[in-house]
Amino acid sequence: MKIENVPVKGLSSDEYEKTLKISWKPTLQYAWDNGIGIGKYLQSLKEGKILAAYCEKCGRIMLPARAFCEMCFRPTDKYLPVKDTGTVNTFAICHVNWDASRLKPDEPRYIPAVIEIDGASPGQGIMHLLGNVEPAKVRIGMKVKAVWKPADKREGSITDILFFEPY
Amino acid sequence: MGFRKVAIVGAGITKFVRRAQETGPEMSYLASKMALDQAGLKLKDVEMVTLGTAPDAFDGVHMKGEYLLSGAGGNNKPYIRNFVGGGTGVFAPIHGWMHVASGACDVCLVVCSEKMSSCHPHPQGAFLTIFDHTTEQPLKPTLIWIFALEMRRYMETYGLTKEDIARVAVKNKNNALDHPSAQVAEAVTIEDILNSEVLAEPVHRLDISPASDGAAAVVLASEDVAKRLTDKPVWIDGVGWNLDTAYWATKDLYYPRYVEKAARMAYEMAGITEPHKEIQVAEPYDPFDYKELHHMEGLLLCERGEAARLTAEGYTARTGNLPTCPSGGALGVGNPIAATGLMKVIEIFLQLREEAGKRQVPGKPRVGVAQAWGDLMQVGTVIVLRR
Amino acid sequence: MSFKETIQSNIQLSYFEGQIPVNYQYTLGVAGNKFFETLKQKGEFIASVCSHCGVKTIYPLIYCEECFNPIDTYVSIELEGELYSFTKCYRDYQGNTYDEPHVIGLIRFDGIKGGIIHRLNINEKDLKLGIRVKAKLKPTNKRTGGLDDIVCFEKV
Repeated sequence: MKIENVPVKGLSSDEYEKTLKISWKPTLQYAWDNGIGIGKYLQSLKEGKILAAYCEKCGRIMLPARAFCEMCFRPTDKYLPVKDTGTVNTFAICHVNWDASRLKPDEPRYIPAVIEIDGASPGQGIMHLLGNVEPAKVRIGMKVKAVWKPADKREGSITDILFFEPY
Repeated sequence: MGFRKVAIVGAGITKFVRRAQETGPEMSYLASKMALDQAGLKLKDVEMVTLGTAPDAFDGVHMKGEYLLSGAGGNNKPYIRNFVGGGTGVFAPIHGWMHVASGACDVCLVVCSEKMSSCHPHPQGAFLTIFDHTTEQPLKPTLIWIFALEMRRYMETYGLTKEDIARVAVKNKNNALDHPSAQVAEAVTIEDILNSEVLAEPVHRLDISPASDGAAAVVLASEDVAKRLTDKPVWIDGVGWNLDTAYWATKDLYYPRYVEKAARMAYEMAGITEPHKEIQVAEPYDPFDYKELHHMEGLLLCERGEAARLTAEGYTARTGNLPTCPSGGALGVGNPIAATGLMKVIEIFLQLREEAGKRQVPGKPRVGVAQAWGDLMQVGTVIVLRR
Repeated sequence: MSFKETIQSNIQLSYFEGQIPVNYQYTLGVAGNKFFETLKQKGEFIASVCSHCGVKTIYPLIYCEECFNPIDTYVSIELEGELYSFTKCYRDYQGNTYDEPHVIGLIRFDGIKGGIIHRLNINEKDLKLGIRVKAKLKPTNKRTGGLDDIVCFEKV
């Protein structure tokens, strides 16, 4: 058995322009229910607090808040606020947008990070952005604190935290 | 364990390209027909068909499984589509294995196809909703974020440099020069990788596999049928799959525990107790270069944190002790998601038959492993082949 | 069993809005390109012909669905066929009412597997299964190589 002369024609840009094509732009919009655990998490963000869920069987304090413990497979027992400080577990400095287009040189870079939140069980991280920091100065293990939107501007969204900054 | 023996008896693959003229069903047909011809079978000999393909949003075709049906030879047959993210391409033959190993049929065609070029402005847009719509999407994440985050954590944990990681891309893109399907084969150097554009520090453009169109297929047969068809059957000796939580930010990003669990499942079935000694050729999933290292460790092919050093020493080169991604991998051959995983299975199949041509690794390997990975650092799918 | 705390106040129920911001450009494929290029340039329909089992198919394919052999033969066929079924539609896919109901039919062609779904422009009293219908095409200079190159099907 030999696999060579494999089929399929790749189109050059020129050929692609000339070949017949059909265009379609979907017009779908979604409204995703937040449900119970995340609903409470967001409500709490509006109040300027990060909410975790506690499972008394395994003792984990989990982020983001959730209605059931997926390890013990039972409902979580209570919701409790944790601190709005944490430690950078890992981070990136991103120069591209979601559609792979490039940020302009003068546009600020996104610095997404996984942040382990103080007061939650070890390793319980959330993804958020870092700000007020030179990208070159960011380090794994850096202590960071949430910078909140003013209370009257909060809307129950993860973006009620603008970003985390070193403190 | 009461499973029947299952062999791969034929394989087919298309070129992997940036934009294919062919439609998804046409690509599926070309790969399927090649696999059947290689096996010496007709479509009427195929009793069941399994199809692996990534989310409908890539091709922009809902019910993609049904859309691809006739090209995959599934008309009026027991046919089923499976999907476990980027792990699909290795899960598809596992799914086919279930059909034959259980005794449900003797001949099963396994097809994987992807046409990502339909999606504009970029297939990354279709990835947005893998992030939690409430707690992550509002931050406007891109797919590269999570890889950059995972790569940095991996580098930090083991004190690795970008050069350590780039060696994988160099090896695979060079290996792919010998693969007839290759989309992005190139005689690159470490400098080329490090000088390529930074997309999300520490990830450079050449650390990443491309978006691709392509298809692949294999024919699986039960022991009796396989022995009638060929004197070189390649046996599926072990299969494993495992999924970890979607709360990806709560995991140890430096180690793919779910890949280890999938590998242990496959090794146990295959009677492999010392994978680093017994596996002679490997195709771990390499959509990003650090992922190959990550997955070598998850597959227990080396100690944790050792994969980069072994790569630097040439251990994973085609002529090394454990040739890894001799095909050229996703980084060199291209990455039409599901078809990539199956391409890796096909590579091990060809290597064990000593029919890999210029890519053939020396030493008449008898045992190999292929693995795929996917979703939010979640899915491990593993298949062990033996000649 | 239920969750220990639920949301009691309706005003605290919340949702998050979004979309998948992509659009698509589909190539028509090898056989599809042949069909629509022929329609555009010559004003003809083509079917694929399997040289192994003889089955003709519209829209054409590069492989035979029956015997799975590759196909490289394509033949022009009449623009005229038979109305196999039809429906009268009052709303579009988003639920908006059409100004005029749309009558959509499935047209089969003699001796050929498959068919074409398209608009019908046929008097209500003539609209019956089995009638002969023929494609009305746009003039050559208006055709772009797509389904709208066919204006509609009319009664012969």
